[in-house]
Amino acid sequence: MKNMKTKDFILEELQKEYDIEGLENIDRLNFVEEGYITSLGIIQFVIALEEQFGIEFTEEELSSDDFKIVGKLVAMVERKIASKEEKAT
Amino acid sequence: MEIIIQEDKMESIVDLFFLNVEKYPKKTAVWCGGKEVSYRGLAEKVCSYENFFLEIGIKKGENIGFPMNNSIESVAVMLAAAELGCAIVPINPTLPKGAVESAFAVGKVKHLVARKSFYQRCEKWDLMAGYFNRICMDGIYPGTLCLQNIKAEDYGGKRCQNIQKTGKELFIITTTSGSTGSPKAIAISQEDKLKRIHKHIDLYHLGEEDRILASTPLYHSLAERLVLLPLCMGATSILLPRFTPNLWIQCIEKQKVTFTIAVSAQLGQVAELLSSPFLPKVDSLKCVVSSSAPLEPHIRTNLINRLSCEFHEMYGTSEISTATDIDFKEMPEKQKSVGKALKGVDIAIRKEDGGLCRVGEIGEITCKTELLCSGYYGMPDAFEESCLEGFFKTGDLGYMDGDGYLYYTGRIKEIIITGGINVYPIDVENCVARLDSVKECAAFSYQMSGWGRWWQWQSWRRRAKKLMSMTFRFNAPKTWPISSNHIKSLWWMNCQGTPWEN
Repeated sequence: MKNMKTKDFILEELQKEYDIEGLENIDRLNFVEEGYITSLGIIQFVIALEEQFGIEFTEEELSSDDFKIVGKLVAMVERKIASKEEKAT
Repeated sequence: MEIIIQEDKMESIVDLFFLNVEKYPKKTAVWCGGKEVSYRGLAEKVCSYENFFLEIGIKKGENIGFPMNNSIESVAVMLAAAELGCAIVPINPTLPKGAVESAFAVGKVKHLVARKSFYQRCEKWDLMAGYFNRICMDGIYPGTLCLQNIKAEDYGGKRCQNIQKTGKELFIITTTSGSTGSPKAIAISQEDKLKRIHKHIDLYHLGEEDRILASTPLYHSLAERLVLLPLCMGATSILLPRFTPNLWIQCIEKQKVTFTIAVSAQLGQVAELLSSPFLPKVDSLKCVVSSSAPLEPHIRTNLINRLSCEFHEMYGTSEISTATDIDFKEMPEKQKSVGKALKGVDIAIRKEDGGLCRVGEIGEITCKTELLCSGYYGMPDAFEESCLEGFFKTGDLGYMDGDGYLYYTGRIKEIIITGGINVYPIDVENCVARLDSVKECAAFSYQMSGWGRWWQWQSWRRRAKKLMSMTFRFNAPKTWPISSNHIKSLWWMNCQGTPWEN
């Protein structure tokens, strides 16, 4: 359920301006190369993710190829949430 | 489908479109992201939308808020609004709450046409109330009327007939920063839009055989012009759903695009790709025009050398449309200019006191043109203040040479006054951009009050460093589609490996 919520939020943010249509496997979408996010939009996107999930991305994470692919970004965010919750307990 | 054109009616954008529906029913009217619609198919959509709008109580003279995406349906909504004599208030669908409220308040929006994703955000912001009609473009959403299920045969496939229009009805109300001062809503009538369309058809010798690419968002006037222009001629509109330089080049090759106007930031990215030997050829192009901001000299040179077609640059604003144009290959010695005034356009460079500048003297660019907009919506005094002796004051700085060519130097608002000296950002940028380690830059001033200056500086610097680290990592032109807004709104030196510290 958490995974679905994370993915739902990410897809919602990505589709503010452009619908993601006709993709067989949305997890493999590179939203940067396909133009779903512009250079200004990425800042809003990152801030939205950090505020929504209470996480902070490192420079390495932001510059990794994984960040730009939907499925891998979802996994990254999930790991960070889990790590944050573990530290809290 | 029955189409009636009254011979004694004034020519309008929609009338011209329907004339072309008669002439070329099966020809592709609009292609967008793998979907295409014929003239007849688009006409059916327009008829169904306009009748639906009328049925639900949208009346002539009312304004429709429209967070727009690039789609065939968006084009049909534009035409339907024009048919009813309504104005659309197009906005970027990703705007934050305050900006949406502001734009729709200034535009006196009564009805809303949007996608589900926008309504989801409106619900979170508690903005769903306050609109007479809320229409959803892409499916069913609670509290909205669904546009998807409307069919032309529901209304007998006919155009709305009893709506008397003069052509002076407002068509588009677009919010901009304006030439000076606070944001203003530029009012463009159907007549204004049609004059601009005709001017561009003449200027670039366009015809029904052309396939015209719009690669900027439809909520900007450039894409609106590029989408409507072909429909008025019987040509084909190619509407790129999203921009990346790769998508742009692939689209031109596959769709055999013949003409486009792109913003200079896009062409800057495209220029880098054009040097690749693995890229598809773009030999269908007859003419490419750069707009919105001057091209950087090295990009301009690169494009002149690599494009085999005509390559132009234009200068203008939303208020005055295109004022000047230059064909770089025809006038190589004037490449640093933004061209000469179009026929029917007068340019005057003025000093602060309104007097005329000498040749070569920098002053404010003012323009007298038949393409002037209808004013600032709801702000007639502000519009009057923006004009001087029939010339619109653009808020841009420039100078004319002895041959009547205009040279753009910057924005009045962007002059940095320091130590009593006027510094033009473009001079600083051109100087810094010459450094090998600098990919892109923009110079701007930051005002700080005397009290708490150190604290403000530290706070700004911390926030800036975080934002800069994101842009530093992402702002590589080869891998990232850079929006022109980025340059204007949030910018740092983008050095390879050397963060900005000062």
